[in-house]
Amino acid sequence: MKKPEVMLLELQELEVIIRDARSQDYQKIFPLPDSALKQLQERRDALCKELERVLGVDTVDEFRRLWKRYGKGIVIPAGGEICTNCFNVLPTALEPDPRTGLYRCPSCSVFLYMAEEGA
Amino acid sequence: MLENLIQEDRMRMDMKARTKDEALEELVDVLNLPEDKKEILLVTLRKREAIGSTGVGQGIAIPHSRSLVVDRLEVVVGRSREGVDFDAIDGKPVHLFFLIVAPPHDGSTGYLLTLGHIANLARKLARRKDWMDISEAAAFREYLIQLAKEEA
Ligand SMILES: [Zn+2]
Repeated sequence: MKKPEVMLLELQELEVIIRDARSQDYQKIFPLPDSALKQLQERRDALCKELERVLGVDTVDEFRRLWKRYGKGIVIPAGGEICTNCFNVLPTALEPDPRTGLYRCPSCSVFLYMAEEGA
Repeated sequence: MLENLIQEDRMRMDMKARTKDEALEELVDVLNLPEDKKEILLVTLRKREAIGSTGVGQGIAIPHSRSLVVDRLEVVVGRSREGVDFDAIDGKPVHLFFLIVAPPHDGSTGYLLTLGHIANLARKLARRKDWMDISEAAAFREYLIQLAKEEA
């Protein structure tokens, strides 16, 4: 099975595609039929369901809340010393959430995605 | 604008890919991403293709997506002599690719503006065929930049 943070990342990528597909500026360049948008939303909803099963409803709600609030990267690589959402310094010894195993920024709560070594 | 976007080290003049998946992978390879990030980007690009091919016709395709795996706007140019079956809207094989990837937080200015510029360029390219005769990346880059400046 995929790692939960990778699934969260995929959910975020879907949200980004959906947002662009809805924007008029994008539609001017690449017109998409309504059925395409519907297809994307269905895929997003299916992924949400799967994540609710793996991580719990609370975590998916948290994702939705953060996405609504920031509307940009809320599942971000944790490679650097600084959170790229709120620009606060991340503690060197970060503890994962014991229930989900996910890492979060202690200041703004965004999800931190652990990139592979040597990234 | 195009001068800054298209760089020689982001160009592949002789792509080997013959299928859609192979083409996306060959284009993404140019970005030198770590394996896990590469896979995430490919999944995203395939999702975008699944709702409608970005093969805009006349041998040109503009696969694109926002993705967190890149930290800046990236454009990769790929050309294939043999052509790739890309489910293009006119059913013709694709010989020229513009892969466009931008981070999700990149404001509308960068990503959508670039998509617009490249779509315009594709319309101009669609009316000509001489771009298949250029073999050097530097010369091809220059050709694209000049063509972009021409009046439509
Ligand atoms: Zn933060």
